[in-house]
Amino acid sequence: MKIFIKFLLRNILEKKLRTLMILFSIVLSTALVFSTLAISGTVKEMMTSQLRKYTGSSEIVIQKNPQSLGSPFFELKEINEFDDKMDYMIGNIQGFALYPEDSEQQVHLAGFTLEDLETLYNVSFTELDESQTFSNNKAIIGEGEANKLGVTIGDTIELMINQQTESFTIMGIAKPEGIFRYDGENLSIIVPKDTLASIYDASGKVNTIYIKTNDIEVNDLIDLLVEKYQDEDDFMVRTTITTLQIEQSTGSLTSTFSLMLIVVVFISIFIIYTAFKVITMERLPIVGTFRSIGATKKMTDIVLLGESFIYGVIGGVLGCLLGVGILNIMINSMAYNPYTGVTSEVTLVFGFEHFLISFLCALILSVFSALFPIIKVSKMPVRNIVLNQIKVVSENKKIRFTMGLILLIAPYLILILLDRPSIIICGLCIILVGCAIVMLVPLVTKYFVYVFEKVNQFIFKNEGALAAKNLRDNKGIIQNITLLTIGIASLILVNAVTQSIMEEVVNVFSDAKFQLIFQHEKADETYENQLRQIEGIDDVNGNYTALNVKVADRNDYIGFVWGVDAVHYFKFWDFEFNRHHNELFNELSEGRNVIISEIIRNKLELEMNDLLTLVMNNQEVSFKVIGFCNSPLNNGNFIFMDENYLKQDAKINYMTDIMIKTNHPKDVIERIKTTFQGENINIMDMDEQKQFNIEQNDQMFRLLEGFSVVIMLIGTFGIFNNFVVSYISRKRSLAIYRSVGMSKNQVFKMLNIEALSCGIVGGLTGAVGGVLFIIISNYIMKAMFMPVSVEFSSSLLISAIFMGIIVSVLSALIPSLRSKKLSIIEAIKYE
Amino acid sequence: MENIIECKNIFKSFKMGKLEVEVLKNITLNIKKGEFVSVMGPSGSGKSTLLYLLGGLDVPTSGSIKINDKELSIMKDKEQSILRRRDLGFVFQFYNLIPNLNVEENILLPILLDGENVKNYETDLDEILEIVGLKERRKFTPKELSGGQQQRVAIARALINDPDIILADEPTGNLDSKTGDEILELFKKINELKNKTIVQVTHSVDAAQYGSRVIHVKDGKITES
Ligand SMILES: Nc1ncnc2c1ncn2[C@@H]1O[C@H](COP(=O)(O)OP(=O)(O)OP(=O)(O)O)[C@@H](O)[C@H]1O
Ligand SMILES: [Mg+2]
Repeated sequence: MKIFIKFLLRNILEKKLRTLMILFSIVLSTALVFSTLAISGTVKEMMTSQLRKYTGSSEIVIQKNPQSLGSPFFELKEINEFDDKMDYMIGNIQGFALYPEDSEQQVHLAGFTLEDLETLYNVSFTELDESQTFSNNKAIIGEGEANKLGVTIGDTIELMINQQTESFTIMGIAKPEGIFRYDGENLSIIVPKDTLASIYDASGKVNTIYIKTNDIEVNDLIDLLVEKYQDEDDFMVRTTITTLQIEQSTGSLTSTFSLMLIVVVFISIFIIYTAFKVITMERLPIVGTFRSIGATKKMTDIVLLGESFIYGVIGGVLGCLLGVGILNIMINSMAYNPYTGVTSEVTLVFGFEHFLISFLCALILSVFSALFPIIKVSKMPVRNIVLNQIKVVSENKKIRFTMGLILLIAPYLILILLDRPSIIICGLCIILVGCAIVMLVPLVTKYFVYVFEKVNQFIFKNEGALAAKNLRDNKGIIQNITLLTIGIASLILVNAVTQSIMEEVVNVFSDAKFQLIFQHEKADETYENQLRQIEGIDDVNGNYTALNVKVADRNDYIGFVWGVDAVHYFKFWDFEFNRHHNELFNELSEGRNVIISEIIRNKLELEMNDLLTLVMNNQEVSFKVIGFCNSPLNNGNFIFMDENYLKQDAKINYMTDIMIKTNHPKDVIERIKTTFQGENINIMDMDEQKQFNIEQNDQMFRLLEGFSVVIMLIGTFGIFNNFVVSYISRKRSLAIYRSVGMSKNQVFKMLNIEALSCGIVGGLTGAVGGVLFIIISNYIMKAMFMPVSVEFSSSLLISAIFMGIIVSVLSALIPSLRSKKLSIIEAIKYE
Repeated sequence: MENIIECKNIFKSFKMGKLEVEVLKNITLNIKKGEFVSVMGPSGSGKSTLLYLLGGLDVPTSGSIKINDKELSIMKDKEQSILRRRDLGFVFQFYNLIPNLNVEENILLPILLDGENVKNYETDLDEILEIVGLKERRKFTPKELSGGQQQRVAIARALINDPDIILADEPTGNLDSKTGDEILELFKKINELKNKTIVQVTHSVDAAQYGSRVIHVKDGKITES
């Protein structure tokens, strides 16, 4: 057995380049498996910690309904009966201030006791003046805020609260965690609860309660609390973050990454499988020798499998390490806020199980890919192996062709028949089409060879014709063409998807016919009128919105329910409708009618005049569908109804935002700021918003592009290796060419023409494959309810073809340069 | 008569790690145009090495080799290649064919490499296929041929370009005696009729008889000629 292990290790060390390539593809696939597994967890964590910035470790928040007309403050009632069900219950005040030294700077002001602050956010201080008590005009700020404002402990800062200037002395500076995680935009300052209460003229009162449960399901406690607060008017008891919120932000990301993962794993299997095919062929004489001296089939199989096992183990370990790195890069590029230039701190979330799964994937990947060629060898009679008589079993081409064709056509039939297949079925279809490509490409190549023989003869003379002939039976080159096809097809897919989504993002904004958005917590018609008075503003329109409205009897939510005055509203947005505008807009205000987006129409399977029942304000209300609207705005997750019905049914009093039409946005912004000085307002410039959105998406696409670079990297490396391996196995042939008078330059030329032809075939079949994938990707978009139609441009296809040619020719460069140094007799004498 | 091959003081050694093995030791040899020379000697004596040097497939450590009065060592790769495809025909000890080309294409290789139109060689090809007896197998690939048949393809390839010199390393070593004799008869015929120069390495005394001169090599030296 010792001799086997020695043999095994020697095999691995002998062919360094190939070992490297196999390891490389295993490592990369493992790393990608790992990062894909861990990314959803990490993104969830990232989102959660962003969402938890203000709510800390609490699970339930109680506030007055922001839509209610009364004061937001209330007395903190004792709810002793739930004491054992709560870890803590913290009453506090959430407020707002301006920083007068920089009138632009808004401050999130919160009133806590020091004890509560520590309980809720688990703050730790870099500096804390312990000789003082946290009362009166003391304040605590975070490190980031302190740097931004240029203040240290003991300094005094002035804040504008409710139009009055108040000054505070900084008593502590906290580490940038929780509420103090400075994101470059919102400053947080904590002041004593009682102080803030008296400033707001609400001594002894709070406006927010944070609760963490103990020994009870969050929802159960919410039910109890709702019951308790029922008779009080207009309280809202909610979970601090809903899983819905998180899933919305991570769902599409993880599915996109999973899709990429399928592609990467597929390519890796192909590379490892082909590498092992070569390895087993090479080992054959030695396996034969072992067998002839009495080794059993099992022993030799173990030797070969052992090799793949070792690759799996090493690749798995390295892959997990690389995976952590990749995850880090991906997350950091997402945590980077291009608007403020600040990268927020993120903790990577991964567990032992992620490592284990990735590692096992590596093992399975390498052992299984190696299994098929090994089984093939194992079945050969000893005599043939010993005498190195390997009959190249010519596979039945007809069977292969029909199988390939079936695998190619079946997925599309399935997709057409199902019309709205699930994401899993779509993923399966992509794999099937990938398999079909692998089966069909070698056959397609045969036809290309006939063409090349003629064309190359014409362009490159006899060397060209020889090169074409060499493509005929050269396994390595056919594998390269297959690899190129899959690689290029995947690249086209990824790029087409990104481009299409990107275009939609920009398109949303081109539908907007207004320039500014104004936001205020208590915006109503008074604000609308005030704005209308401002010089330079041509028109305004306030929107009422209910968010995440549940559909009755379904587990679906409508992200945005907009209450509009249709005739006026649609002067601000240029949407496509299925009906004549005036008629539709008038009908909307005539009763409980809704216009729904095409995406909602598909998702809820609604048709004209169907009834849509929504749960609003704990009551079911039915609306009649009177029209459809096609817009990618908010991912198409919206419906329109008349504003009066929304206000009435959902108890909404304030406008989410007010759209403003103006020809001088910059001037108007300044005027609005002066008009509403000291109030918590927010103005967004649509042009800036557009830019911001593009940049936000840009990050995500850079990530996806990173993935495609990885795919191309694995692919290129595999192709390069194939060229090297096929060069090595063809040394003898090349030496014969040389011996009968082919000059070095002719050999060089021939090898390059081969690579060129290989690139052309791979590029063309890859382009076809890309189009095939894109067709499926449209079904994926449908399945994910994304209002995006994926299209391919001829420029994308052409650049992909060129990419194939470049990759192929570049990868062949080293072997063809090496051919110049080929020693003829050595290559001829020894194989 | 003029010398078509002239070797002067050739040495050839191979580096094996730190060790340097001297394989050919001061060989001087002239071969006249139209000669049929047989090289004989024990295994490992350096016969193949000598033949490779004559064909420019390898370079001597020192000494000069002239083919047709042209010094090999100062020729560029392109000139050497042209020499090989126009003036030399090689037959190796182990038949060396391109596996993915068929019999016809293998034979026509030197023509293809010269960028000539193979159509002009159709009659030559037919004639040679007739001689080597592979007319019916012209579309076969090497793996579909027996060892002897492959060797005959290699010989046909060496003849297709009507070269002045044929260098053959044990051309009949793998053939049955009848086919071997036929090939040697063929060599003798083209040697006499077309005045071609032939250098063959052989172990068989019978085979050596076909030639006009026998050179004995032992331990890298020519012992008698
Ligand atoms: N590339 C090489 N490196 C080292 N030694 C070599 C090399 N090629 C040949 N030799 C040595 O040179 C000597 C002569 O080899 P060569 O092939 O010329 O012998 P030969 O006379 O043709 O023998 P045979 O009749 O068995 O074919 C041998 O001892 C061989 O070991
Ligand atoms: Mg020899």
